[in-house]
Amino acid sequence: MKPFLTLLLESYRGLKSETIFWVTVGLSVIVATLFLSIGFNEKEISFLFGATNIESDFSGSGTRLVQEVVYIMIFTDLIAGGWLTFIAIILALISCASIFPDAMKEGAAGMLMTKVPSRFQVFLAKLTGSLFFVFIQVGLFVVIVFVAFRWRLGVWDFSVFWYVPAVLLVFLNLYSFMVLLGVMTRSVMTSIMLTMLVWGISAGIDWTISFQETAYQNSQSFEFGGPAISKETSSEVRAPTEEGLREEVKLRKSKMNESEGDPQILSRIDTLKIIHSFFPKNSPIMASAEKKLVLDGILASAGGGGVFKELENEGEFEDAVDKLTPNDSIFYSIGTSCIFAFVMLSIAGWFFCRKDL
Amino acid sequence: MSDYVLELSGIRKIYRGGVEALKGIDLRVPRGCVYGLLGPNGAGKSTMVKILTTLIRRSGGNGTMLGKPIGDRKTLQQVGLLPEHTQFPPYLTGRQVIEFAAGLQNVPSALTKERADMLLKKVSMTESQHRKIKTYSKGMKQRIGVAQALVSNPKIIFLDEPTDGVDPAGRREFRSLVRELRDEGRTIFINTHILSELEPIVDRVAIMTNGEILGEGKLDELRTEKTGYVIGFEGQLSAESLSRFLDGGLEVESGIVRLPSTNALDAQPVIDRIRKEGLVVTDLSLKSQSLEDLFIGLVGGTSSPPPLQANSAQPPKIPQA
Repeated sequence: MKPFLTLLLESYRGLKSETIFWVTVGLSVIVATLFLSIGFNEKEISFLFGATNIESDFSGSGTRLVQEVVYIMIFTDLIAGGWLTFIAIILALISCASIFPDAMKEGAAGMLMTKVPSRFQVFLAKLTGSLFFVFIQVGLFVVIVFVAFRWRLGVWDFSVFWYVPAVLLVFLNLYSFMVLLGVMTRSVMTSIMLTMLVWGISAGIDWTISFQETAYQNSQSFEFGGPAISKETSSEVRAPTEEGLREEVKLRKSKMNESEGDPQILSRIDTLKIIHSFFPKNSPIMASAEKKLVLDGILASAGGGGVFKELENEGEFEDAVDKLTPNDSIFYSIGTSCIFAFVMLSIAGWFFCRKDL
Repeated sequence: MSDYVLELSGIRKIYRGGVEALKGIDLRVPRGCVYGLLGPNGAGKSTMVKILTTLIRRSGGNGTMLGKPIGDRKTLQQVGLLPEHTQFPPYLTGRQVIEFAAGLQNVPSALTKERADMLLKKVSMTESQHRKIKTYSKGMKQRIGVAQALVSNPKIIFLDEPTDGVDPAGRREFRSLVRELRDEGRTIFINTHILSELEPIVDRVAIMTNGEILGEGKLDELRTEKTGYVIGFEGQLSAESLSRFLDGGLEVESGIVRLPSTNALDAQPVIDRIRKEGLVVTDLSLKSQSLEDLFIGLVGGTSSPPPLQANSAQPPKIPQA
């Protein structure tokens, strides 16, 4: 056990010694703090703890619910969707890209792999060290966001911590492929470039599926956004009302169940999903964390989150949210992603253990 | 307990692409000696050490190290290695590298500090122990490399090109350290192409080229054929005299006579005979074949390498790994 712990400690020391580690920590804290600094009053959205105020239609609509929805949207779309899903993961991948190729360099291998720990233990320790790196980054970030939700919305919302395993799984998906490339080619640059390419292809397929699903919904002659926008205000203020949202959720559910769409689009979606099943499913995983936040989190528990709370039964509410995120089930996305990571890491581990160094 | 810490039989390595780096190596390394593996670059020396320390896999053959099959993970705790191109984590200090190696070798925590202190002193790095590795010179890194190789109190130590980049004073200290380690009963296996470094400290050598061992044994055994007095003279020996010299076991070339003896008294009658022929003796010197001569003779540069009697032993019988 001691040799393994020694390897873990060394992996952590190695990452900590990299400038990019501290850059990423610094950026995470800055982004999370910026989110924390956003506030609302009756007429304005304030930034940087009130240093800058912007008059807002959303704030102007006056309801607490709308402010909550906007605050959560900023988190899910910008903070989680932009920072956590893309930038933080790219930085983490770059930070960790050299771990395996470096360990396989002649002089380093002579130090690491001629001693008591087996190569498999070295492999596991390096992998765990990389995941620990991401865990620290995301953990710190989410703790600040957790505080932000409490401060701004008055809720201790633990569901935000679902983003930690979600981001770790997204990272692991991509990193497993990067490790395989790193072990096979021992080239940091090649592994980064090809991993980004696979990520791009996967995201492209995912985007195409979403696009096709939207097209399918349109082919069902389903009209979006009608009831949610208040008739009185729709020409001037593009803010949803509580009553409108409730009606729209109900309407979507009933319409989707009733009407048939274009079967050709459905066939294309099925084909794309088969192709996509071989790739990591990052967007669905992040969407599942987002769904968790919405289902169990702020909107369900916040004092002003009445619109969903007021739905007559929980099942109806969950169905409605499922329909709002019409991709595959969470189990399918997580399951196939875990299989992808397992297969990649198994092959990489096999190479790592057998390769001449 | 076997007298040999290392017994190899028919070790082969064929790299991808068909390059045969080792062509069936048979080798036995006695316990408690300094063993030198000599050879030009690309001879297969490092490949050999890498196979023994599990960095690469052998294509054929088998062998034992400290009585266990090669590759046995637990045996590696009793093995120290200084790799050829040492590369330690640059963010660690010299002391941390030794402690890291101690952790990997499962050295009890209670012993680690004491052993690190002792090793730092042994390699004269106590004063620089808290500096980062990235600030060290090549020679300092080599010293720390030797220290980390010794941290588990190993019975056999592999040093791959240990004095590469080390200054003359450092080389002298290195030789002294190797002798000290041998006196402690350890076996030191040194890979090098710097022959002058090895000559003063080595007990046995194996000379390797193109993946084959051309000669193996104690230096004195390997040298026997070429050590002795050489007498230079001016003039031409008559056929009758030449015949008498040859019958007496002497070697005669143009202008010189070689005696297979290091005793000066044996040279006197030969000098008298040369003078009796009316020739002038111009030179008298004791020639001892250097390791370099041996090496050149075997690896290339002379048309007829000297016979190596020490290598005539039967190849060792090795239990299946």
